[in-house]
Amino acid sequence: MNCTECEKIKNKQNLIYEDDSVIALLSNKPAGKGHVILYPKEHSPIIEKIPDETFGHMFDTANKISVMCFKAVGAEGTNILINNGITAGQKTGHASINIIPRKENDGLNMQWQTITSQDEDLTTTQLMLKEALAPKEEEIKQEVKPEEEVIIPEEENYQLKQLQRVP
Amino acid sequence: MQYMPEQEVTEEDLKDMSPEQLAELQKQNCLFCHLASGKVPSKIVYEDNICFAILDINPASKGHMLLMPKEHYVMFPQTPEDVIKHLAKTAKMLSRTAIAALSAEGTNIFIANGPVAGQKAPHLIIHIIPRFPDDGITCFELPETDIKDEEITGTQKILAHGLGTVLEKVEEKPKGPEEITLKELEKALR
Repeated sequence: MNCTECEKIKNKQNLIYEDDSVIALLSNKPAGKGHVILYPKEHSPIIEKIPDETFGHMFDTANKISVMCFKAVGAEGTNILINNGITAGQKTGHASINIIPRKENDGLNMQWQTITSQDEDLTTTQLMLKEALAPKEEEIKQEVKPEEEVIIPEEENYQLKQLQRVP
Repeated sequence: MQYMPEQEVTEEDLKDMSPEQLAELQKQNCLFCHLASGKVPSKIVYEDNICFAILDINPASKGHMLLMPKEHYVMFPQTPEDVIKHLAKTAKMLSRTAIAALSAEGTNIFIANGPVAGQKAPHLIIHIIPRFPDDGITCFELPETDIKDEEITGTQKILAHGLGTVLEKVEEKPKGPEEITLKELEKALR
């Protein structure tokens, strides 16, 4: 596997934290001071391929790292950002979570422009998503014990191939 | 959206309130808590007993969803671990569904902690933004700045030290990353 990020993980380049399933490295081309990138140790090209348990642990670890940024690098805020897919700005073939400390006038702007959206269009989109999500909602509601793992089956007509892979 | 608070509260009242009462007041006046309970209508697409997802009525793109815990947490750091893990799995599922149902080519998952980071609401929101070719969204293209090796090592040391202060479990001053073992780091983070 020719993954540059797997190499960095193997070499523990600029290591901040690691455990059995995840590893956090300081970015060597940071968006700002203290920009940390959190990876699953096991190679996954996109987040959908990361097992639920690992992904949940990643979110939790990202939170702990972001709290640390508040105190350690004097951040006034933090952003947690996942760029999932090339079209979304994913730059490497290894899924990751960015933790970016923020300060006033740091030159970063992650604010998007809003698009005009007619109410009918919103309602159409709402119905499409609601319909696609209804089976999952039902599954979770039928769970008797909340502490049990919810296993969500892969959709048969999953159009993952639309996500371009990094060559 | 303009939202009027349920009761008139004067500054005098606020001064006399305990932190718990203030928190309760904030919760009562939180638009997103009212969206959660259905008191204020929304374009809801998903809900379970812990969280819910609605369409953003001022979206960045088609299918832009706001995923939120039903319980009132102002930001990620205040959210309990089990809720965070549930939100993670739900966000992944919403992302996958947006791609499949709307023929998106990718998604951005974005959280802003603090106004400086772009937080606009007093309630934790995880944005799931479907992406399409030529959608004109450029704000998630992170700049790449050059950084000297010494600066990286310096920041590494600060962050490793910071791990100790966050957890307040360190009895002695933590060492730099060259000296600290991975086991110690792991222990500190737990």
